[in-house]
Amino acid sequence: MTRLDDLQSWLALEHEAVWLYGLIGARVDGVSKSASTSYDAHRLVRDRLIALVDKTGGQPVGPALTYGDSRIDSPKDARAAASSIEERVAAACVTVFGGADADGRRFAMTGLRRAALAALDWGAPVRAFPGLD
Amino acid sequence: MSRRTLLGSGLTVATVAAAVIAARAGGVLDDALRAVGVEPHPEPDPGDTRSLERAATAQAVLIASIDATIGAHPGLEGSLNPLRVVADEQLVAVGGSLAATSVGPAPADPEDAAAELSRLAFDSAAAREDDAVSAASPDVARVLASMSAGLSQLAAAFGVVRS
Repeated sequence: MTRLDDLQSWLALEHEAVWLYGLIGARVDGVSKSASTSYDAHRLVRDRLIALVDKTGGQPVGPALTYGDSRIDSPKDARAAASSIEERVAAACVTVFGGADADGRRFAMTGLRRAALAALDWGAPVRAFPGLD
Repeated sequence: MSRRTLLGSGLTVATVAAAVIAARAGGVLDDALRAVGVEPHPEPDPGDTRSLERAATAQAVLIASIDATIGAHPGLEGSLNPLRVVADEQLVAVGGSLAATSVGPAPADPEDAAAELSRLAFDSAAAREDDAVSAASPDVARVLASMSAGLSQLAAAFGVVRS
């Protein structure tokens, strides 16, 4: 059993990540391949979370109408925004992890490790405790 | 739960985990804690305590191996020092120490030595994940899961270290 509210918080961030990487891929030259890889990864996790929330008896949260109006026009902007969303996803995964059963913890760990490594790829520093520090 | 709350609880848990191990190593009894006005915490799950001790032992070996690598290949020091700081933060959080930890010499080739550090971090990440999944305490589970992810980052960073 995994706590529904925790899953919904993670799902909301996955919607944001899908939006963000779509934006980066469309607007920023030089990082489109990385953005495409991240976009595909987050779509996959988003869809699995939607199914999991549904299976848990909840109504999956949908994407927001907007995620702010900050401009992302350069590779530097893209790296900062991508690092931020990956680190927030990592924090959501850590929260899910604590309240989940063994299967839920394995799923959350996969998301946590993927987010931590993606954050690194997008320029975040190595952290002792991703999602906690 | 807000991110701020999560961060606060996580760091507190790490500190508490260290205190649990230190208290056990020092043979501090609950009565002694009460005598100084501190109400002892509920007895931690023995499996969780062993998981934290395993994390501390593996982390000490990783750091001793970093030191051996720097000693053998001073040209790697600039790249390895920032990673050692992160690894040491993890060691402290799980109540570990470098005392009584010894490792063999680093590989003679610098790239092989860096690859060996990457393998150590990778293996420890897998072991911390297994312990996190089976942890009784949700907070210990979170700390070990997060540490596992941090070790994965270290493994990736060691993999691209060059002099």
